[in-house]
Amino acid sequence: MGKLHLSIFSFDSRIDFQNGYVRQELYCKEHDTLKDILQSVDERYFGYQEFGVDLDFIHCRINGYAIFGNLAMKEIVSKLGCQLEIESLSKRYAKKDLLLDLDIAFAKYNDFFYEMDFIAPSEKDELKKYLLINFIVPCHDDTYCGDGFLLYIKWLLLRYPIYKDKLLRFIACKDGNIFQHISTASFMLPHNRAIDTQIESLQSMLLAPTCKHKKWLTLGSYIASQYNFRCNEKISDYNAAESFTPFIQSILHGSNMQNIESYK
Amino acid sequence: MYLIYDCFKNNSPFSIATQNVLKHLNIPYITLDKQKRFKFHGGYFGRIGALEQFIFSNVYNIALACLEEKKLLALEEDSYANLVFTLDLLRNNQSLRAFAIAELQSQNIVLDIDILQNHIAYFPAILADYVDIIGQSIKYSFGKNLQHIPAIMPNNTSNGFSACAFYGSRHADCNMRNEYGHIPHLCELIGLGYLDKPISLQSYTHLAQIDIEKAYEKSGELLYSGIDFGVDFLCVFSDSTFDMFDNKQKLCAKHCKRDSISIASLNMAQILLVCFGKADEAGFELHKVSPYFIQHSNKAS
Repeated sequence: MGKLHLSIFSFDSRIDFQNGYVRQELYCKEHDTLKDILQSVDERYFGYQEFGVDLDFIHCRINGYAIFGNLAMKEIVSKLGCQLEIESLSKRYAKKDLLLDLDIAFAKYNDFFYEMDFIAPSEKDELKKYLLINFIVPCHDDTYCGDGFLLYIKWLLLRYPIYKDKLLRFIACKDGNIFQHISTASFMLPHNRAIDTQIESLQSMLLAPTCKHKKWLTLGSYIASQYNFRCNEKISDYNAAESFTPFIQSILHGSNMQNIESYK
Repeated sequence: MYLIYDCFKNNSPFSIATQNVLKHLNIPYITLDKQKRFKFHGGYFGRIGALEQFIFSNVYNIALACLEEKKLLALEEDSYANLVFTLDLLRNNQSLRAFAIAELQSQNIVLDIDILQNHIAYFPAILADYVDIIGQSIKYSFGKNLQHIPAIMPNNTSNGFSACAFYGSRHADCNMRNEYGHIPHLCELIGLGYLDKPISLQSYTHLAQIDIEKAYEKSGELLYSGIDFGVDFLCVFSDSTFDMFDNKQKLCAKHCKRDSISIASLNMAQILLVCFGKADEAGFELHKVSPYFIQHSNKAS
């Protein structure tokens, strides 16, 4: 397929204060996958001559797009060309090159777990599986609770229906602010609406007239009032976000924290 | 034949410029009969807050085109995204299909819901079929180009003009069928440097309904990221992005704490009209920030 010009994010939290980029040129064959390319990266140019990457479940950002899994290079090159800037999903939480330190990201939710004291310890750890999803959109600020966290809330709602009100209240308030969500679909390669569908189903719950929390009812009424008409028929038996799609499941099951242990 | 999907409340540069481009390229179109009106397409939150009305209004708008055997031509992303999303919902869900059919029947509209797919189009996407005619219509270019057409103003200090693309909040819906695949080639043809960066995918205009100050602040950060690339203007694809970057530009600058720098936001139809030497037909009088180079292109034409 030709020569790839790679610019790969390099950072080792044990020795570096600043990050940098390692440039390498690699030849890519017709049927090569992203894993083949990342395996061929020359490790000598990275901290301690090791390249930090999770080859069992690849998660990184290439030319601004979040990538999960072992995509075919043909697909990546056809969309992004041969000049590829490969980075960790979040520079802020970078641990070693493309690997992230999710323990630090996890600590942001201590207040949530303090408030939701009904959640069992093993279920708290479950949140770590969802945290990669927080970093798909590269531009959220700290006042937003995170897309992955919202999917974790959906998972908790199924396990703890009796605490539904408490969980919804948390994401409805200014601290959680679910309505700051930005569509993740176009930030992924290939585009995928699955995560947005789940989060928007939570938003719909808060906008519904039957919702006990009245904070967003005004927005719900405003949206309905823009139409100037009412429907004669009703939609029956429709739930867009009944279960997590195979794509979301692959992120949750692929999140493998073992590889990061050796960099602690 | 296209039916212009003009769903703007007021006169819009998207509507004016697109219709003039269609005229210049001899692409047949009609506008909606004055006695009829499109229903509100739902904006960003329609699909979240009022699904029934959202689906019906989009189906109804396509049906208006379908009944006249035309294609509904969306001019910008906000409206096109909702058309695509609605048809996607109907394709994949039986209960939503049943609802749409029953609601259409209750309004005395009888049609085969499956053919709605064939009755939508998107203006930037259809340009792919007219690249040759566009090439023949260009009188002025934005810089170095394949046909060595003169640039719209002498520009000795750089390689020509460049623009940073900014898509809407529902861009993924609008690019499911590679609708933008030909845009880089089109820009090459007119000599325009086209920056399609990761920030191009970001949009915060929908936050205006949630937290207006946050919407200005984040949109301002985005606007100035574009400006900091050193581009001459912004290329916008959605009405909400145009409104934020043009009408609300000063508020964006104020909330992201940057000094005000005037930069114009042009849509693809306006960019083509400038190249056709017809900048006076692009609707720039509706802009708060007019492109600074227009006086030169008018002189040239």
